[in-house]
Amino acid sequence: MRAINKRFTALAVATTLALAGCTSEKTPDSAKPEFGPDGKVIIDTFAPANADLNLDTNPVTKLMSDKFKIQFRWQTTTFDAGPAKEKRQIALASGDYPDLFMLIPWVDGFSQADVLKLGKQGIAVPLEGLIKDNAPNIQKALDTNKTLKEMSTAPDGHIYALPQWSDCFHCSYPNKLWINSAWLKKLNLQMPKTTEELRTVLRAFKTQDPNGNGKADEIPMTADVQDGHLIDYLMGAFAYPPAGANNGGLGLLTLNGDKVTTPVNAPEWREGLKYIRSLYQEGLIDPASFTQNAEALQATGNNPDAVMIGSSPLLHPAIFVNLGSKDGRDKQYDAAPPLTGPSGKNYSGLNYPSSSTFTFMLTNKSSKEAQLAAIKMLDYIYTTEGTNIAVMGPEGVGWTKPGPDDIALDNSVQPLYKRTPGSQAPKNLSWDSMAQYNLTLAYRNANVVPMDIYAEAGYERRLFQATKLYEGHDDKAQFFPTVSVWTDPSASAEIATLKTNLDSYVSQGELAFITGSKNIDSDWDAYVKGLDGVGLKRYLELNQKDYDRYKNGK
Amino acid sequence: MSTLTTSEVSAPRRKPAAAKKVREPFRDRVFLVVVTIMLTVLLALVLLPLIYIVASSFSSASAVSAGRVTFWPVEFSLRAYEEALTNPQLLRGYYNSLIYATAGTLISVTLTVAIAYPLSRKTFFGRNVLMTGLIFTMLFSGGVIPTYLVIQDLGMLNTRWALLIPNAIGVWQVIIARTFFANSIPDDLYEAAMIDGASELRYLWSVVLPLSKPLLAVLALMYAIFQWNTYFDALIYLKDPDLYPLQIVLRNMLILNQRGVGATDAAQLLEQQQLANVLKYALIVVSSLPVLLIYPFIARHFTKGVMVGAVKG
Amino acid sequence: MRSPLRTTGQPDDAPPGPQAGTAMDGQRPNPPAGTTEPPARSGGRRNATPYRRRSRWAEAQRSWRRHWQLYLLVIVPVAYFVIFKYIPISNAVIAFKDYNVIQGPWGSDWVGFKNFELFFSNPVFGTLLKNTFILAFYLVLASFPIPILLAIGLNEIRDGWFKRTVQMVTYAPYFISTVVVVSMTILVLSPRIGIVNDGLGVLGIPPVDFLGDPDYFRHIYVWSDVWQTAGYSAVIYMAALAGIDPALHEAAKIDGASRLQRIRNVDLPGIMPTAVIILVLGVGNMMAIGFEKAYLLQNFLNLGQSEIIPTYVYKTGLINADFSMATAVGLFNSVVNLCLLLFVNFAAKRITGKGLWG
Repeated sequence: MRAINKRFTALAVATTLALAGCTSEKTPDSAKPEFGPDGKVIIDTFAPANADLNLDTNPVTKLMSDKFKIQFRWQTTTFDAGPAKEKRQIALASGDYPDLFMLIPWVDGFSQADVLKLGKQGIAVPLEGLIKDNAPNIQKALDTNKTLKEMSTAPDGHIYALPQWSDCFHCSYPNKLWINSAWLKKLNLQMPKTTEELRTVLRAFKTQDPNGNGKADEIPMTADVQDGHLIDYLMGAFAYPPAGANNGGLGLLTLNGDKVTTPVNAPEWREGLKYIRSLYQEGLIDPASFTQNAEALQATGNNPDAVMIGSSPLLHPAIFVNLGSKDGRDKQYDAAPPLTGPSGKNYSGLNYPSSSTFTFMLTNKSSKEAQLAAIKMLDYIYTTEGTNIAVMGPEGVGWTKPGPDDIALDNSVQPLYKRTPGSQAPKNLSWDSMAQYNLTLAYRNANVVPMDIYAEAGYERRLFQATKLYEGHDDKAQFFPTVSVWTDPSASAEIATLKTNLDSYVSQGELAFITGSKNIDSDWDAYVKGLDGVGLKRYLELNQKDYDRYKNGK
Repeated sequence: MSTLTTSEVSAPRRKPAAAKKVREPFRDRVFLVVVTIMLTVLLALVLLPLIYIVASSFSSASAVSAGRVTFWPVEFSLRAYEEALTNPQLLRGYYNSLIYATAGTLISVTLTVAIAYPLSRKTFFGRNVLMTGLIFTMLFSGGVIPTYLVIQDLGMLNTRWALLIPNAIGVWQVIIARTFFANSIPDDLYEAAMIDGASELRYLWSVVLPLSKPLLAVLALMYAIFQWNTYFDALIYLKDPDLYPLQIVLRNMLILNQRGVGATDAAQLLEQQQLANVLKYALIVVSSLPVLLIYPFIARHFTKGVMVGAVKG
Repeated sequence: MRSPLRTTGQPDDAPPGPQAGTAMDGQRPNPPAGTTEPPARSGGRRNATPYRRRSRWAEAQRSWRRHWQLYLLVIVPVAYFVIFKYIPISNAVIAFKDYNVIQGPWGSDWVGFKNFELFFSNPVFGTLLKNTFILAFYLVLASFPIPILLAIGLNEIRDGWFKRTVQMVTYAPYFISTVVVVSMTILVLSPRIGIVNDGLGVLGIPPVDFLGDPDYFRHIYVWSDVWQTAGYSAVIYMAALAGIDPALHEAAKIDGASRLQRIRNVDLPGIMPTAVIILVLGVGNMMAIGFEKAYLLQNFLNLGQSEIIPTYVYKTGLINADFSMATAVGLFNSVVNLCLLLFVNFAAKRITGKGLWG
């Protein structure tokens, strides 16, 4: 028995050492190129794929493979954001990472901190040299688009990864209010332009029974937790509301000259909250706006008994009402302009660019040949033709050239392409979101969209036109260029904690003032003081440092 | 008989008992009625939301998003099921999950019994240390990445083994099993078997296991369900979509429909968003139906009387 | 025949009496291959005097001789635990280090307790801990009795379609994903369209904003969880009940015990060991409460009570992809769990005589 015991222990120890030894020697293989049977260079690529997408058989894969002599070995993950992120992180942490990452930003992408860390560790291969020598289109995009260049270039001058650039016009101005204009007409009211006009309109909605069913069941304004931009929209009449990154979370930073500051403790902000509070007190804002989920909102908006929603501040009306409704209620909602407040301000928050995570990265496991092929492939994607095919599919199948009667989304420009509707196109047609690297505003506005904005097919145009009302109402002077400013990695843990705490404190505080559980007159000062207790000063300080570095680096 | 009873038991109107049968006293019948009522209430509380789910899955997308469905399908539509069942990956997912569930259950139950039974023997030296060792692993875990490293080093990545082995034994299950062995198998049997000259393993195999059918049923059920629900581990350890279990396929389907194709095709995006609402209910039905159906087979082992005749005299 | 009113399954303790040992030793077919030396005390313990102080070594030897097959049997599971649990733990020194991918777990710079300091000095730490603790504790307490009651109730009624239906239906919610359960919960509790408020309206009570009131968060969380898991948890108790010797029930019936008395004196003691285990394990896993459900039920109105440690770690992790912090928090949770486990086990052992270690 002793002998067996000893042997067992020895085995256990040996295993431990062996495994430990294995893991500590996890240096990446020297980057030797691997070639497939037909001479194409093999590139291990990590990419998300969903149920419909089979990257191996995808026509765009074949096209890229033939054109650039690449044989893709796909490592796929799903579209489920949480697990996709873990899988990516595990791949990197275990040393089992591929040659190339081609991610989708709204699934999961590298953050600035990731990119800097990987760059420092030598895992991410600097791209700027490759781009300069082999990718004229990418270089052109970088040279002409200042924000893109700032976003991509780390403080040490290297480009470790490339982000996608998908300039969604209507997404840039997310704080829109959609008002039931049929009700306005019925009650003989104009589209409200000032804060007081809005109050009048909302009151009228509530009391004058515009849906004509004899019941006071109209809801003047409502939203849901995930999609509502209630505070942001209404605050624009008082102060510039910074948009949160990636259309989520709170924006806390603005600029005053070159000083990084926050608007949330300013007197104008307080006035804005007072205004919102007064609307809430009168019952003009639905309390459920802060607790209900999208489904509950939809159920309210699509209630078969009557049209109930008077207005809703969110990105687009299809969130709360079904398009193509039998009673045509989806056609009733139009966008209100940014409100003008008592001091004459009428801001609208700007969310620019729409996505800010990094998606294209070559690792130190890739050989020179692989890197060349990959960058040339990406360069092709940056051309209009390349984008057309990679995003939508082969010509004639996924898209066609526009006909003589087709009008572009921005009807002042020449249309460039007409996408085949999803229901008519076969599945697994293209790389789609994986290839949206150069969707500039010009490109997106050249999409062919039907003229009838109230038809389902013309929805894009409806959103486009609505956004025109908001264009220009942002304040470039106050806009803090989040994506261009690189956070110092040594402080990133601290900033993450500070931001989480501040977001939480501010959001809770604002809602408390609005719902009345805190009194905006008597409790405001304590609230402002509490901001420092949660680390506001330090947060601004850290961001100021980063911003200064950014300014000087120019 | 029965005249031995104390006043607690006899109810005033109890009939004089027959010689052999013990009639259910009135008090007990009342008790039974109360229990039945409570169970019915519980049944209703649980059943109603389930009915809502099933009804929604058979309704049209617009009816669901308008909140019109309560307990009966509105605008009957098989669209969601069509979407789910015509997905080529779905059958593959079912097949894979079946494999994982059966193989995984076999492996897990075997290993669990292999460690729980020795732990249940009072004279097994080292059982406390062993138990402590197991509980320690329940509280402290290496984490995702260190475990991944081990699996990688063993060459199990992207194979079925990655789902069958790393989670093979659950400490919770070991403890349940050990408790059952220790408390439900009388020691008289052990003594008797030893006297008869049986070896430990023989005793385990011929006496203990047959008497542990309820336990084995529970273990099998828990492990099978665990394998059936596997999602995260499969995602991390598998790269080949042909090995994906059901949950991944289903979740993929749902996400695809929630997200849409991107803002360039707004109309299609909206249609898909609505479908997502119904689809998620249909997917629940599709994925849980098999597990629900095996339940009666397992529950058969929960009948009383497993021990009848075990201890003779 | 043991009296039905005594607790079942009372195993004898520690070393069996000399008679049994003698009988077995004499009849063991093959001596174990590994033993080359005779045990310190010879196997022929024919005298009836029990040794009160056996040396541990002798005990070990005895156990080996008797149970050597079991020791062999145990090797594979133990290997499993070593390889898949202990080796990763030893790799998980990440919590104390600044993790560097290329250098691997052993090479990364030693940063010491930085992560823990950051966590403990966080101004919201106290609130997070309190919220997590209360929520988890409430959950364990609420989920404890109902599966037991359900199992006992089902055990009482006669087999038939009703019993099977109740079993199957109550066990079904377990398979609904958290996301769907939460979304249904929110719909049901919605101030305007939710049926709960509709019901309250019928009784003349004005609608309550359940989701916006921080005090309701815990109740919503816990009871929806009980709804989802009670049926599944009851399965274990049903198995335990099935393992009770029905002769005990018969004897009790003969003694004239009513159903209620039988439950109290036969059923409950019979499942007591299982119940204690489940309670101890439940408390000992408290801090491992998942983040998803709380995250989905959170909104800025109830955040004061709905922000718990895992949701907080998740949020900071979104902004800053740092494994070390998450691992440090995990380690903290584990330590707290350990303390709780030991405490509850001690209490359970005191009160009921049964504990995790048997």
